[in-house]
Amino acid sequence: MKTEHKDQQLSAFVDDELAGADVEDLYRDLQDDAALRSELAEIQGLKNLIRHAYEDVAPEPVAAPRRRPIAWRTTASAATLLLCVVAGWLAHSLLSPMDAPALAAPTVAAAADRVVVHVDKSDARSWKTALDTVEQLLNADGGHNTKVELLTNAGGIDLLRRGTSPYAARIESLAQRYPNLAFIACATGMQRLQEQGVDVQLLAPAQTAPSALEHVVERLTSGWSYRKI
Amino acid sequence: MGIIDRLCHERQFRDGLGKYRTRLYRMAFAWSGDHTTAEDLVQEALARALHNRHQLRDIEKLASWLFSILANCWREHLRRQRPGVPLEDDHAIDWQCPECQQLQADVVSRVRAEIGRLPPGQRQVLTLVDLEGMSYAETAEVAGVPIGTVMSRLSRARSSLRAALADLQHREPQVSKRHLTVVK
Repeated sequence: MKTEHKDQQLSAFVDDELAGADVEDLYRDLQDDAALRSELAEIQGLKNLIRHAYEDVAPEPVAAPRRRPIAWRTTASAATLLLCVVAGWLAHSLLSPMDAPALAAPTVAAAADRVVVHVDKSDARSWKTALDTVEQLLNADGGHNTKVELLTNAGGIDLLRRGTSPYAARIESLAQRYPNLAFIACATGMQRLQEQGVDVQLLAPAQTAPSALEHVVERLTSGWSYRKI
Repeated sequence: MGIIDRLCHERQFRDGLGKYRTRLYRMAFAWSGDHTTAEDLVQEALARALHNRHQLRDIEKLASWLFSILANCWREHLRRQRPGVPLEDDHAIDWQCPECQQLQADVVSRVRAEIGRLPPGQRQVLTLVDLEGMSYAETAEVAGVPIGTVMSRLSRARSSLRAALADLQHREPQVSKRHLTVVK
C-alpha cells in the first residue's frame, strides 16, 4: 500500500530533491509498479499545468509620470558623474531611514543629484519635513542640476490634493521656482480613494505615476537616491 | 565591506528589485487570487525591502529574502482578514462569483481556482516550489517552517490537485506542448 512517505518521495524526485539511496529505492519501485509510474507522470504534468496557469501574470508596466513633461538638464562629464554617484550613494546611506528617526530635521544630501523623496503618511509634520527636505536639496546647488521628485502614495496623496493640502501655495511656489522638481501622486492610491467615493483633485503642479512603489524601484534601478520621510 | 563592494551591493540590490518585481507579483497573485491584493502585497513588500535593505548582508540571498518579506506581508494580510484563524484552516479564495464560475471551463482558471481552494500553507509551499523553482530548503526559510513540513504540505497539495484536476491531466492537448517539456 502506498504511504504518505512514498508520495513525498515522488514529489521530491520530481523536484530534484531526492538523493542517494532514496533515489535507487524509488527507481526499483518504479520498475515494478505501473501505478507509481503513472503517479510520477501526473505530478510532472501537474507542475507544468501550474506554471502554465500563472505564466502570463504580471504587474502593470511601469510608465513615466504623466501630465507635465519634465525638462531635466543633462549631466556633466563621466568623471563628475562618477563622483556624484559615489557621493550620492554615501549620502544615501547616511540618510537611510534605518539610521535616522522618521521625523528628524531634514539633512541635505549635498551631492546627490537625483533624489526621490517619498511620503506616504497623512500627517502635516511629515509633509512639512518632506517639503523642507525637497527645498534644501534644491537650494544646495541653486536648483540647477539636482533633480528631485516628491512622490506620494497612501495618506501622502493628501499633500497634493486640493482641499486637503495645507501647503498648496508653497507647492505652487516651489514648482515655479524649480523646474527640476516634480510632484507625483500614485495613481493606484488615487483610484482607491475614488472607489471610496472621494473626489480626488490634484494641485496643478502634480503629476501621476501608475504605482508609487514601482516608480521608486524604477528610479533606484536608474541610479537615483531614495529618501523615505 | 569596502566602498567598491558596497557600491556593487547597492547596485545589485537596485537591479534585483526591478528583476524580481514580476516574480513577486505572480507569487502574490497565486497566493491571493486577486490582482488588487497582489499589487498591495508587492508594494508593501518592496517598501519593506527598501526600508530594510541594509539588513541584507548577502546579495546572493536577495530572492529568498524578498520572498520571505512577501510571505510575511501575506501572513499579516490573512491575519487582518480573519483574526484568530490558523493559516492552515481557512482562507480559501472565493472563486464562486458568476464571472469566476463562467471561467471554470478554462484550463488556466480551473488550475488557479483549485490552487485557491488549498489551505494557504499548502498553496504557499506549492507555488514557491513550482512557480519560483525554489529548493525545499529555500521554501522552508521563506515559509518559516521545517523542511519536513514543506514536504508534507507539498505532497498533500499535489494529491488534492491531482484529484481535482484529473480530467485536465488526461486532456493534455489543451496545454501547449512547450509547457509539457519543462521538467526540473
